[in-house]
Amino acid sequence: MQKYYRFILAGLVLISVVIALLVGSTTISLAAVLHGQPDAWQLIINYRLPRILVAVISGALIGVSGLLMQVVLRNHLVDNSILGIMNGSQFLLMAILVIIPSMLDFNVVIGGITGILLTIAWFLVSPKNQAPLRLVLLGIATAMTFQALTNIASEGLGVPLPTLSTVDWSQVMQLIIMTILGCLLLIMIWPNLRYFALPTRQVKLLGIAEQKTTWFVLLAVGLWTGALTSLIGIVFFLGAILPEISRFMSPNKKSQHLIWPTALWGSLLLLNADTIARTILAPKELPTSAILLVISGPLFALMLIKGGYHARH
Amino acid sequence: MLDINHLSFNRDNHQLFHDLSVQLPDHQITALIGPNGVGKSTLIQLLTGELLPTSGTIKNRPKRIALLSQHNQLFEPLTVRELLALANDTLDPAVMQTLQLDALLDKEMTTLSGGQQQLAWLGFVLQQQPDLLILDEPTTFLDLHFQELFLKTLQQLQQERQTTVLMVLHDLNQAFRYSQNIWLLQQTGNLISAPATQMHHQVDLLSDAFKTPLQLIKSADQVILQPK
Repeated sequence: MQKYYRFILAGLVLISVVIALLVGSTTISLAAVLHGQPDAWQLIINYRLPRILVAVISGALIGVSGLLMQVVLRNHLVDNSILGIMNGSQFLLMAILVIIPSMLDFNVVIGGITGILLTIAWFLVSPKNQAPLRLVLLGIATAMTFQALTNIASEGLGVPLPTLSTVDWSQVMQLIIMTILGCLLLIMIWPNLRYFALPTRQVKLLGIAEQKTTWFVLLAVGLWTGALTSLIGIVFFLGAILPEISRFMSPNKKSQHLIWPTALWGSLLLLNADTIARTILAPKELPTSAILLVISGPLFALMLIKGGYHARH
Repeated sequence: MLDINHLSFNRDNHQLFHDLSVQLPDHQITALIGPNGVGKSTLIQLLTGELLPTSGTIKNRPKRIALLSQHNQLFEPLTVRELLALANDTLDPAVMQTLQLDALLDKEMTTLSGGQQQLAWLGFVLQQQPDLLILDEPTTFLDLHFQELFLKTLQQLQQERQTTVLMVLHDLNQAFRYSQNIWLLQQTGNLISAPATQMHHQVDLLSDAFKTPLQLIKSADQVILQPK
């Protein structure tokens, strides 16, 4: 079963993609697609495919970001939403676009840059060697502050917040470029990641550049987070939940070996949540992040209640 | 030879060490003893370079320093083999044999007893082929069986490899039995270095340092220190 686990997940993602292509406020029949009906194809290419791609990529990035952040911080309770980096980059991006509206076409790239800036600022300011739960609380305070600022600015200035429904191909391309850039950063420090199983003290004595590795990971994660937040908005707790789902499915695997399952679980959950959001009350569309929070919120609570290995350490 | 020269260290306006000069004997086991809170762990952090002295120098610091503490945390579910490979990809057969780790290699660390885990960690530090091995209360959480097994194995491997070892121990009798030299760190921040055989008889000095009246008891072939 473990052997086919990855392929089953990948298969489920593919099936979800096909379903997401066909269902919606206008249901398309598979026959229409196969017969090459122009209307059906136009709907798929112009509206559904970019949206689906963004959901699949973003879900994977959220999962992998959470996993990597947990590895380098040695804290299994954090992700980018919990640390406030999602809310922070959303606010910063909004501020930049209000000041320079002509940048709107490059919102994903600018989002990525704000993500990096926020991540750098967060880790320069936050005190070192925090107890796991203290870091979480500090992060939630940051997130709530930026959330409030975003609300005030959004209501006050009438700036719309990003949703998946407005995604176009240019944004998909920007997101793909950001994804590749992040991967390049990670490839450079990949061999060092296995040492994070040890305490910092031991890593230093082994002569491994822990700080450099941590910063490369944080830069990649910041870039991804900013970019995807500019498209899908805030998805709370998902980045912390996805690695936990992967660990639950294969308890003896090290984090580095959980990258693929975590990415696939992310794509699967985000894509299907989005499909549900746009079909269940069609033509009215529900916010995807709310659908996800209904799932991820209780799961995160369960993780804290259960405590288990990760919360205690 | 690790050479501490006129070392002073202050923390929070409190002077832990003042003008401390001492040399660590090469290729021998030195036991660092002293009451709680006197700065043993701080001295170790100064030796490894994790902390920098307020003044003074530490010279001839060896390139490869390995460290083992009383409690070693892992952040991933590693097997013994995976842990050892982090220190060195090629497993040292002599270490595996002496520590009897062969049978445990593919077991996960968390499934082992505390004593077995500590032996695996000893394997981890020895795999690094250190020039200086520092052990910070390595036997504190072990039962009597594993305390003796750990120290005997360490002694055996140290003799074979001639590694320089500095080891913090709380049990004075273990310190005297398993080391050639004693570093006694006093409440005043003073450090007295002497061969174990000499220090053993300084009952007044030791009683004073630990604020506990001690006496030497001679049994068959051993001399044991005990509280009066």
